[in-house]
Amino acid sequence: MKKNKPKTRMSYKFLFALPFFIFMIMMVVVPLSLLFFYAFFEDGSFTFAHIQYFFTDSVSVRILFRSLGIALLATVIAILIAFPIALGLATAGFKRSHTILMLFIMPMWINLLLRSFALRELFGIIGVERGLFALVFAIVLDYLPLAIIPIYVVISGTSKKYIEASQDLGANPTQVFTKTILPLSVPGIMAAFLLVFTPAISTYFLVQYFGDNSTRMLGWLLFQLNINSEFGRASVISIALLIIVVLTILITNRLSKRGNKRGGLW
Amino acid sequence: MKKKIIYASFIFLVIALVYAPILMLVAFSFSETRIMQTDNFQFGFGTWRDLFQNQRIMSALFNTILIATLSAALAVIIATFACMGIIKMKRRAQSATMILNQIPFINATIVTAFSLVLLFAALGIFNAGYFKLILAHTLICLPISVLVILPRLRSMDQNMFEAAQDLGAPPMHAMFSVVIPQLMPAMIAAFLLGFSLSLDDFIITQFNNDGVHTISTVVYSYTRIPPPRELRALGALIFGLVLVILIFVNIYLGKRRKKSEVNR
Repeated sequence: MKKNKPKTRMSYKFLFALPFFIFMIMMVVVPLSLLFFYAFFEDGSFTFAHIQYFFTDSVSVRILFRSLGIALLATVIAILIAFPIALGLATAGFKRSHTILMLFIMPMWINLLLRSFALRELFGIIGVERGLFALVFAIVLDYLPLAIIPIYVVISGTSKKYIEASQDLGANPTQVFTKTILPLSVPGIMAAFLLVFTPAISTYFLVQYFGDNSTRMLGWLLFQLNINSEFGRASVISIALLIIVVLTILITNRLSKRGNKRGGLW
Repeated sequence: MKKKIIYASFIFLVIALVYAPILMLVAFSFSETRIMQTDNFQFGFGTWRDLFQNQRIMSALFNTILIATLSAALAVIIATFACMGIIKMKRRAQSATMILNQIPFINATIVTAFSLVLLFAALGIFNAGYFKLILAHTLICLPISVLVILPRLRSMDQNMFEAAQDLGAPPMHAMFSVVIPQLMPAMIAAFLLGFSLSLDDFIITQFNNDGVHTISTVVYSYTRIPPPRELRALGALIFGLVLVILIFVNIYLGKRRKKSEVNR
C-alpha cells in the first residue's frame, strides 16, 4: 500500500520548511559568512591586515587572555555555588524544592539590565569598588540560574536512583559523593559551564557597569569597534569568539561523555 | 538532618544575595530622594509618578511588548510549518537542520548581534529599527520554537493529515482543522518562551535598534550618574509583574496537577 502512495503528495511536504530555511540562511548563514568576508577582504581584495593587527597591537591578545581568565573564574565560581544548591534541592528532601528552584529561576524573567542596574546601585550604597571583584560577582549572580538548572535536572533525574543504590550497597557518604554523584553529574556541570561561559566571555555592559580599565573583555572590544564602524577588526574578534565557543562545546562534550562512562563503570 | 540544615542555610544565603539588589530597588522606589541613601529615606510616590510621566520609558515598554509579541508569533508560525517539513525529511537532513537551528542558540549573542549589523549594512538597510528588530527577535525566538514544537509533532499520529486528505479535505483545511489544534499547547508554550527570550534581550537590540528603544536599551541609555529616580520604580514594576504572573501560573499548574492526579 505504502509504495503506491502518489508521489506528488510526498514531494511538497518538505516545502513547508522552506520559509524556515530561507529565514535561517538569510539571518544565520549569510551573516556568519559576512564575518569571514569582512575579516579577510578590504575594498574587494584579500588581506591579512585585520588578523595581523589583532596579533600585533598588544591590546587585543591581552584582552583575549584576560577574557578567558575572567570568564573561566566566574564560571567556576558559579558552578561551585550552583552544585551544592542543585544537590541539596534534588536530594535533601525539602518539602517545597520546586518553589525554591522557582525562586532561583525567577530573576531570569526580570530584565537583565534592570537586575544589573539594581546590583550597581547596591554596590554604590555599600561601597564596593568597580573592578575584578565586582565584575565577577555580577557575572556569577546574573547567570547563576543557568548553572543551577542543568545540574539539578541531571541529579534529580537519573542519578537519584544510583545514589540510593550506592548507599544500599554500603558506600560511605564520601564514596557516594566521589564515585557516584560527581561522575554522574558531569554532563550537567558541563552544560552549566557552556551556558555560563558563553555569555560571560562576550559580555560588555557588565564590563561597563562593574569593570575598570583592567577588566576589559572581548565583548567590550567588539562593542567599541562596532561603534567606530571598524567592521574588519570587529569581525576578527567575532571569529575569535566563535572559535572559543566551538572549542568550549567540543571540550565540554568530550568531558561529559567521559564522565558518563565513568559513572556507568563505578 | 544536620545535612539538611546546612543545605537550607546555604540556599537561603544565596537567595538573599540574589534578591538583595532587586528588593532594595523595590524599597527605594518608595523613597523620593534623587539618589538612593540609606540614611535619608523620604516616603512618597514621586518615583512612580515620574515613571508614568516618562515618555521615553513608556514608549520603550510599548516597543518591548510589541516587538516580543510580533516576533514570537512570527517565529511560532515559521517553526510550525518548518516542523511539518522537517519531520518528513530524511534522517541526515533532519540532523543537519537541527544543527542549523541550534547555531543562534549556542553562538555568543554578541556575535549574532554583530553579524546582523553586517547583514543589514550589506543589504543597505538603515534607519529601519522596527523592521530590523522584528527580524532579529524572530531569530531569537525561532530555535526554541522549533525545539518545543517538533517533539510534540513527532508524538502525534502522523497519518492524521493524510487521513483528513483522504476523506476529501484540501491540504490547508486538513492542516487547520486537524494538525494545528493538536499542536496548540506546544505552539503556546513556544510563543511564551520566545516572548520571554525577546523581552530579556539586550545585546542584539542594542546593536540593531537604530534609535528604537526597548526596556533594556532605555535602561542602558541612562548613563549619567545618578540615574533618574524613576528607574527604581521601573525595576519594582517589572519585579511585581513577574511575581504576580509566576504566582498565578504556579496556582494554575498546581490545580491542573491535582486534577490529573484525581483523574488517575
